[in-house]
Amino acid sequence: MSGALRQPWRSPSVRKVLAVARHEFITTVTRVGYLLTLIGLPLLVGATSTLSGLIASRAMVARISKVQKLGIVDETGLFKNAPLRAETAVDPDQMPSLLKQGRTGALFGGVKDQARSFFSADLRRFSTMDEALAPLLKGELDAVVRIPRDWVQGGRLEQHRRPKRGLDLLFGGNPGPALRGWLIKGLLEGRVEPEVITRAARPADWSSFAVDAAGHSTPVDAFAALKPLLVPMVFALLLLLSIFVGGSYLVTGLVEEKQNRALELLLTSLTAEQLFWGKLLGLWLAALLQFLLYLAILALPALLAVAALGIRPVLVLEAFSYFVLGFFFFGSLLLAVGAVGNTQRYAQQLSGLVTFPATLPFLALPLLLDQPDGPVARVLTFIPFTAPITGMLRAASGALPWWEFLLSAAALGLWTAGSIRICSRIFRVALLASGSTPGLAQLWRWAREAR
Amino acid sequence: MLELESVTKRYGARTAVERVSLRLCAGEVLGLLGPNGAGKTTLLRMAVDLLRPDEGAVRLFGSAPGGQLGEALLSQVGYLPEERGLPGRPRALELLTYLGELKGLARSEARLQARVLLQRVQLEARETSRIGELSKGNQQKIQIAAALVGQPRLLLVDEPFSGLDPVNRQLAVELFLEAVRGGAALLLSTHQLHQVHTLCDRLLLVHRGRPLIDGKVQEVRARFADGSVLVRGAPGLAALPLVARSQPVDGGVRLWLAPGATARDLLRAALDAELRLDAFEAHLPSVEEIFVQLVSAQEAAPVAEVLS
Repeated sequence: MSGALRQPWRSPSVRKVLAVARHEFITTVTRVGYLLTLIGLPLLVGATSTLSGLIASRAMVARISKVQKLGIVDETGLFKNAPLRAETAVDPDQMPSLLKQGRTGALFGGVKDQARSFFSADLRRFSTMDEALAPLLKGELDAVVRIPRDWVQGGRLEQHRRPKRGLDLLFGGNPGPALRGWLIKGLLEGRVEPEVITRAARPADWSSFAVDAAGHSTPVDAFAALKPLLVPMVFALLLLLSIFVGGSYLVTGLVEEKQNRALELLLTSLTAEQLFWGKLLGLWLAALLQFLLYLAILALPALLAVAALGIRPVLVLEAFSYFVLGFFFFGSLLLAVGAVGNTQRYAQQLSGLVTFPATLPFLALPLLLDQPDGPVARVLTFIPFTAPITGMLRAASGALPWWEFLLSAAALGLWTAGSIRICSRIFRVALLASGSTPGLAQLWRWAREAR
Repeated sequence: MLELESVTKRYGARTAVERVSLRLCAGEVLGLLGPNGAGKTTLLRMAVDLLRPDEGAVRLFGSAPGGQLGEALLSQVGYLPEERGLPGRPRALELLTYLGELKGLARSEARLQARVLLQRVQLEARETSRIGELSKGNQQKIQIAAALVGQPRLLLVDEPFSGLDPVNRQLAVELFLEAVRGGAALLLSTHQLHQVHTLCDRLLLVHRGRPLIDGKVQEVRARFADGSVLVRGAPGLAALPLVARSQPVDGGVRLWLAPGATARDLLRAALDAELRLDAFEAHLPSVEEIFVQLVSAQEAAPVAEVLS
């Protein structure tokens, strides 16, 4: 037995594939665009989410911190003995996570100290609207609340305030939350027991329980059902990113090599199939680097929490399998696209057509989450363009039995093998073709006739 | 080393190459000549298996290219395409190393050869430059080095001197001849016909995809000789009745003999007249003259007539 057979990676053919892969990998990962995406995207995502979190927290802090000054014009007479201080407890579910985690103080430089767990307002009573409007216009009041005579029947309240400007549009106080408890108390006081008034102000703190087949109940929190989606979502997004970003470089590079005839030189040293596999592998390595980096900085904490979140380890394996198969399926198609495209513009248009179907499961996300074992989800699991992401999402929902996963992965594997076979043939013929752009019939002829 | 046996290649309804044969042996230089669109590049592409002939056969080192055997055969071929075929982003040393690896060399050996070749083309100082940053001439030198990487036994070069100044052209000639002296065969496709005299042992002229003439350079030139003689010295010779007309050429005069006269008659007459002769030789047309003559005739008449 020859050495090459014993150690296939040392055979000349494999060494050439690996040389191309290394060259493609280095060429791709040293592109400015790749580095910008690699480093810039997490920064952008991090900055955007931090900024939106800060804005939301700021708005909430502003609302909670401010003790509003409100004028009350009570035409019902229900609140003539009500206190002149209104406070309503903040619903913890509505508080931004930054506030709940106690990091606001550091971010806002002491704002947290001003934040309370109550919306509050100081009230001044007025007999008529005309009487109340004068201090409002002078700026002594933030708003005037009129409680019409028919409030109990119709439920309508009026708030009168000066026009909002600038950040007041975002953070300007709404008297509703602060007055909620005050209104309930005024409405019910003297009519029902004090505990009932408290309960009416905050009717329920929900707890959820999951009941298993044996009838045992275990507490679950509302977020629990979404936790398993973390892993497949990360894999799905990385797959899309690899396809769109990496694929774009692949197609661009290939058209460039075709236009400057570099391919002609390469193809006198290795076969089109070796070049095809080398490029696919190189791109895969670049995508893997991207994947591992993102995993390290974005998803690693989530994956470390896999056990804590109760995510099945096999889910990671399933998602990774779909990621690999999906990448090679789309990668092979994109290589054919790059070989066929005579101009960058045409190649990018074609690659858009090829990669767009990958996003379909995201467009159908509500349906897939609602009916993960429904007919649409099942069909999409076996269409190669949609299988990777649909499969990941269904697996996360626990609606993908192991046999269906194996069947779907095997089908995707076969589609990928077929795609690689056909596309490598098109690749071989199309690489050196020039002139007019081939139609579908021509592509099919190339796939059939190429040796 | 290379054998093309009556190869024909069609692109749709257009026939690019029709029944062309050639044979190239070790240590031999063959000039492939022809006007633009004659089918030279198609022939070269068939020789390196970038294109497969519709008819006829290609044999590299005695075997048909294609498959694993073909891959091994192609590893011994150095190819220089006419249009510059180098990507712009890689650095010079890295690119040559990469191409060496694709020729089957180990990375360390490929890197070593790349360095040597960069020295040979006098670009060792630019080894870390990106190809796109190099001048047109320097890119062509990298292209020549790329063809020589892996010490190929067969060199197929298409317009290798394009974009080179005379000094670098001479450098390229030396590099190719060095490879030939080492036993490689060289197929040179060029428009620079004067290079054929200095470089080529044989030539093949193609026009409209068909072979017009092939053979050893001196034999082809002799075949197209018109009986005129080239004389240096003997200024009165042109006045002899044996001479029909004369034309001054570089350092001498070209004489056309009168009907019935031979070069031997003219030489005897010169000696009898005790004229001082520095040189007296049969005039052989240059390859360029033959090229123009044949191609011009071809434009007006079928091949068979021209060759007859």
